[in-house]
Amino acid sequence: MTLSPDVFVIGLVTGLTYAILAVGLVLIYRSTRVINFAHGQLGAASALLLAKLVNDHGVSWWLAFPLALVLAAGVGAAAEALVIRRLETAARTTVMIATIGLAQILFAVSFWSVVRPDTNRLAQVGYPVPIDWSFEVADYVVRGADLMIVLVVPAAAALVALLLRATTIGIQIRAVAANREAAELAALPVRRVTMSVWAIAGVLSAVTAILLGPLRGANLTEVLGPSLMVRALAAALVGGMTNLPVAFAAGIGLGVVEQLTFANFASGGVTELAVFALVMVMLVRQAGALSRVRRRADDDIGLIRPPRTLADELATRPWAGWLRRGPVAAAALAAVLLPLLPGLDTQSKAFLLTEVVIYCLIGVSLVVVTGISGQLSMGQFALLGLGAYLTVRLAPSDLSLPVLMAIVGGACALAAAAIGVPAVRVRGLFLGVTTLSFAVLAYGYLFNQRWLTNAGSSFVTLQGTARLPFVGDVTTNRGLYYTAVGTLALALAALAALRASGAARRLMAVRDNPLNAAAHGVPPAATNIVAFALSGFVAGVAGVLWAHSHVNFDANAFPAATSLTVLSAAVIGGVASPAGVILATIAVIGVPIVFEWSTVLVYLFTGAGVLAVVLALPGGIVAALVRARDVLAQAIDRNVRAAVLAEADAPGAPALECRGVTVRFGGIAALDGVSLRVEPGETVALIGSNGAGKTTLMDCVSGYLAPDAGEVLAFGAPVGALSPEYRPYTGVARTFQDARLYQGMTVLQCVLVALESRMSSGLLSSLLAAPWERWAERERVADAETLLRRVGLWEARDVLLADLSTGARRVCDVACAAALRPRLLLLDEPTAGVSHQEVPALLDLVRSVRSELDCAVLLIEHDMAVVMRQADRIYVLEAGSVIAEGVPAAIADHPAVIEAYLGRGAADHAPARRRRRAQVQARPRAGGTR
Amino acid sequence: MNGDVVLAVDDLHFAYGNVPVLFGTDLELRRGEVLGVLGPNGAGKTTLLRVVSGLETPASGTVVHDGEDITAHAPARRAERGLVTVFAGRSTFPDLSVTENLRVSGHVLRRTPGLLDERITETFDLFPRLAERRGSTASQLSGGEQQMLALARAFLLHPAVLCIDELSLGLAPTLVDRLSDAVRSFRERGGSVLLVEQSMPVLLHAADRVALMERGTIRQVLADPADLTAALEVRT
Repeated sequence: MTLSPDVFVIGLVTGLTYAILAVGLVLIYRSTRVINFAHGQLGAASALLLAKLVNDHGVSWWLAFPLALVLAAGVGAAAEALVIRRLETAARTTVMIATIGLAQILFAVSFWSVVRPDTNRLAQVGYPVPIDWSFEVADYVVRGADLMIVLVVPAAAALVALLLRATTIGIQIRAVAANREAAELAALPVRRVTMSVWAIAGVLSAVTAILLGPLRGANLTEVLGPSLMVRALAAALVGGMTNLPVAFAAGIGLGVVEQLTFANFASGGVTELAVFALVMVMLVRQAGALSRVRRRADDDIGLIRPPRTLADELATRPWAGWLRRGPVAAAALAAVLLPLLPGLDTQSKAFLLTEVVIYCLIGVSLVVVTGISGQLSMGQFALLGLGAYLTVRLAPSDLSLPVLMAIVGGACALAAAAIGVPAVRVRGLFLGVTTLSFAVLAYGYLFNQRWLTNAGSSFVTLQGTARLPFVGDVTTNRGLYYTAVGTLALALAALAALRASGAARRLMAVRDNPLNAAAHGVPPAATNIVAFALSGFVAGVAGVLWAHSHVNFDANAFPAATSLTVLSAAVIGGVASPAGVILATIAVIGVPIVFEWSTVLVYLFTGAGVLAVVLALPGGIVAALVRARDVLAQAIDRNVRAAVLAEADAPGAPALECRGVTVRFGGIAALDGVSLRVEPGETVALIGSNGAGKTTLMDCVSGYLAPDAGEVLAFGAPVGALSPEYRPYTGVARTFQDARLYQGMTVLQCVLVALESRMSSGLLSSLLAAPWERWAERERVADAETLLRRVGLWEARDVLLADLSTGARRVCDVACAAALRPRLLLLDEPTAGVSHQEVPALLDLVRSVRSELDCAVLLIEHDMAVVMRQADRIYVLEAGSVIAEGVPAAIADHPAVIEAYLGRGAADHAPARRRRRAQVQARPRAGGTR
Repeated sequence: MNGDVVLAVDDLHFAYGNVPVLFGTDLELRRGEVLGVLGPNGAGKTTLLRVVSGLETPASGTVVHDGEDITAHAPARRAERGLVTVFAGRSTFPDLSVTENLRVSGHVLRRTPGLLDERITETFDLFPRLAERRGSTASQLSGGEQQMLALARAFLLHPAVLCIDELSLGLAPTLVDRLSDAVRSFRERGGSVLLVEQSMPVLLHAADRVALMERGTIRQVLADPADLTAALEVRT
């Protein structure tokens, strides 16, 4: 074992850089209660600018240095003012995701030519240092850069400590961190204090970057990415995220340990293993202490709202299904046609398209673990990497793709479950840290291990072909593309099935309230681990495709930063929605890939997208799409109505208004200028002798006849030209005199037909037994059961209509009409042919349907007793004209009515009505009508 | 406006999201009195103080201090006007020492040189126990000492109106008496106090009048706390 002093010197130097980063993390955590993933990047641009000023413009280091620090302070303050402050009340996880977005933007900005020094020149003269001499300590040449670190870092840390301990602003910072509300009540300038902390963090970050510059050169900003951050985080965690001296010491310790392992183990990455173990141990050990420090809300990922479904009244439209199916069909078509389009029809573009589909698969895996289960995964792409390496390892076995996917997916599921184990103790912010440290571990350690790579380095080559059963070899780029698309489609279908299942409900229950879930018998720990395993499986499957697509690769293909990019894309899309995640992935990652734009653009897109979503568009792209869909649905609805109805519902309009309706059969006027009104909720009876035109009028109202003159308005909208099948839209349903319905179908089937209008099923998807059709069917049957139980026909559900009594058929007819949820119900002689005993039950049913749906009723009836009892008003029709209108009592006494229709005995009807009602009340409700 | 009234709360309505808490709360605090507010858990007492202190903004209604409508003022501006609120158990900075707690709380006094130090000395005279523990962090203090520190932080500012939430929360009776005495002596020096409490003895001892709060509104204001027992018996 090498324990030479120079190892300790280098260890000290590297350790100090971790230490000062850890100090910055602790500072921000204490004041903002968030892990600041942008910390490394806050000062990166300033550090580059310093190099530019000194190297390219000949400015003195001593002038450029303070300038750079001022700029970094400004960046920090701006980050606070523009982003962090606006998220004061947001879930801490949301704020942390915002810092990831911030880091990505700042990273992209550091490639901007205004701050970026001339790369060649930088390589020649090196990153500027103020002290340009060196000396030897124990065989190790200590250069000026090293000395600066040794001098500046402890000084900076001491300054920060002193600032917090002894100055007014320091006490205020601690006060705000400890109790924000009390600080506000004590009239402390809370916002200014928070902003100062971020400015200080910016300066610390710049100092770190400037010190690292000479060691890392032009790669400075990449270096400040996740690998370094995870080390600093580990150190900060040792200090419980709050203790500055301990975090500082831990940073140095980590640096020394790293150099010791570096000097003593041939293969790299032992540090990553140590860091990973350290993070795990620290988190699990300190879970209790950390949760005391932070508020309960810090654990929450923030409310994940499922995308809103279409409003009920619009969802019942026949075209509504296409709003859902249309985009899916279009997407499927696009996926199939894309590699055939001009410009994209080469094998090399097919390779890039495959890459995009694989990213979409990773997005789907994130929907499971983050969207449904609510656990932040920042290591998803590393799981894909693991899958890719396993694929190469298994290639000699010559397995077909599905088998390979099952094995590799299973292995990755196990790995993901292992990463998810800390989820038993920690959630939210800190779970994200464990997953990110896994990503770093995979990159630095795992992918360099001989047992995994079977090679001396992380570079591997896949030997073998991709085979699908029944299809054969799909090793070409285009073949792999279609395989990937098919896999994505399967994953989406599986995800849809999962979401509709109890398993997803359990995941969501644990996400929203683990304690309560446990009380309901759902084990939180196991459930969370299952979510990780599921997402690991999908990532592993994606890895198989990735390996076959790339063939040659090394660990550099799976940097930890990519996992963050993928997470950002998911956030932009709306983590709970696969459609949103896929769209966002295509937009921010996919488009730059296919058009071979710089990866810097990807960072800019993801960063800007994340900030936009976090600050301005809660719910992500999918929320915007849902809003667009609602607007579209309303527009379609308006237009469909406008095309056939001319105008929309007028509030307060009568349920039905006929104005001068005239229908001629040959030369005879069946209806001659009939005007009639039914107010909402009112029951109006239409009486008249045979051939008076009652049914003709009802046919006009329900659309079977177009009037030759006059207007029919349903709820204020003219419906004269609307064919019958569109009438249910306008809220109009009718029964028929013959109540024949569908003779060869059962009662249940009849009601299901009526329910189709509300939840229609697609012919093609039904043929294919698509799962959503089964769910819709289940829903319809449930609705039908409710309805049939209410009308007392449930027991008779399997009876053919032809075998029912007339009374029962009429009940079934009314049930079918009720299934349409009408606002105006047209009943054509509901009691005709019904046995005397069955009439009261039927009328009870009509009454209950009416009161439940609060609908208006237009009733044609010959039985005057029924009319008198049911109707609020009566119209009397004679030879195609209304001869009288009024309340029942007035009609019974109307001379013209008596003359034309009721005949001399009419005066008897009023007492008869009272007698009948007494009978109805005395009789218990007939159970069913059979 | 009645010159006698130093703080007037008029028809406050407030909801946490969809959960309404205050329904038209009215209250008048007269100059130089201790007005107790008594009510069961969930009556909206603490919310009332959160609105009065400016931590929450009401949906409607006004808070008027010394004749000026301060409904929209930030907490800091209210503190600067001399309207100071103390929330039991939540009004100290646990990581800061006792002295630091006082220094931070006296932020607004900094404008006059020397005033802050003068007031801190005065506060330590008022609470000798705190002076003994000046170097300890607030989290190291006992519950009573923390409550004392919370009060001391408020007294330091010489507020015109002091609103206190649950002075007696979790404290031993002897300590409660000591703190009640402190409140009384604050009143003797001309301050007005709005004292939200669940403990009857504290109100009997310290309050001049008592308002009974129930489900977001003030049901009754008793001119004499001695009527409290009778009033509560009638109600139950």
